[in-house]
Amino acid sequence: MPQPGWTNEEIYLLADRGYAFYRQGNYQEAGIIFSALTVLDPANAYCRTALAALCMLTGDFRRALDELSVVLQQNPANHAARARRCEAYCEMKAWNEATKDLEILRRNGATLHVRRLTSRMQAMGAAVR
Amino acid sequence: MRVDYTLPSLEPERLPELESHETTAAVPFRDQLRTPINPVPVNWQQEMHLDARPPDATHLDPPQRPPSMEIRDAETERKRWRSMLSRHNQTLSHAMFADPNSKEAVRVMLEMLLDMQHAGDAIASQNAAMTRG
Repeated sequence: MPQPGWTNEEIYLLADRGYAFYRQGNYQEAGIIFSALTVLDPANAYCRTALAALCMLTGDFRRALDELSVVLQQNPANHAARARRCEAYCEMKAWNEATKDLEILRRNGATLHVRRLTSRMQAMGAAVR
Repeated sequence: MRVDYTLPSLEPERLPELESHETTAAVPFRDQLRTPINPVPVNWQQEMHLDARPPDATHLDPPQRPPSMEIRDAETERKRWRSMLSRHNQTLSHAMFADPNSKEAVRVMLEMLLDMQHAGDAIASQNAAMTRG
């Protein structure tokens, strides 16, 4: 639910503008929009995931982790968000946490994510089976 | 005896009739712009999306439009966008947020978007002035 005074349509219009900035490579502008959108619609998983993606692009892995953790608190079954968080942990070389997320994905049958993340972690030198 | 040396198959063929441009000339240019454009041919890799970037943590899909929302013509959308920015910019000072930093994030966003809108307006009015001469 958006903040009082804001509608779902307005949140969409802003998210669409933020997405356009992302596509143009204007990550700073896109980040400003999605930062505000996480305030205006805190439960909106798309806006928070988008902000996390932009944080990953700009090298702010800590904030990406925080945003994705909020998304997973709201919905632990969001496999795409978990895969993203696993990737953020990899960037920070936090192998234990990354492996935990990978195991959860494996248990839940998210095969494509597991294959991709396993290859990635192995390429980065992590001990993953 | 008279011999006809002309072989039928070697006779020059009639050229195909050139398409008359009278019909397209009668159509205004504005309407010609609305004619559907033929899709760009794609190769099999593109057809099977093999050229697509694999999704990773930096990949983002477009947002999903609310089912209740309908997109109208560009002019109406522009008006909707402008009225949204101006309304929320005016009401922001009265808006209540639990965290003062939250309000700041919204203020920064509105300020940036309004600045961009003013810059766009300035360019548009400059172009209009140059066109008029």
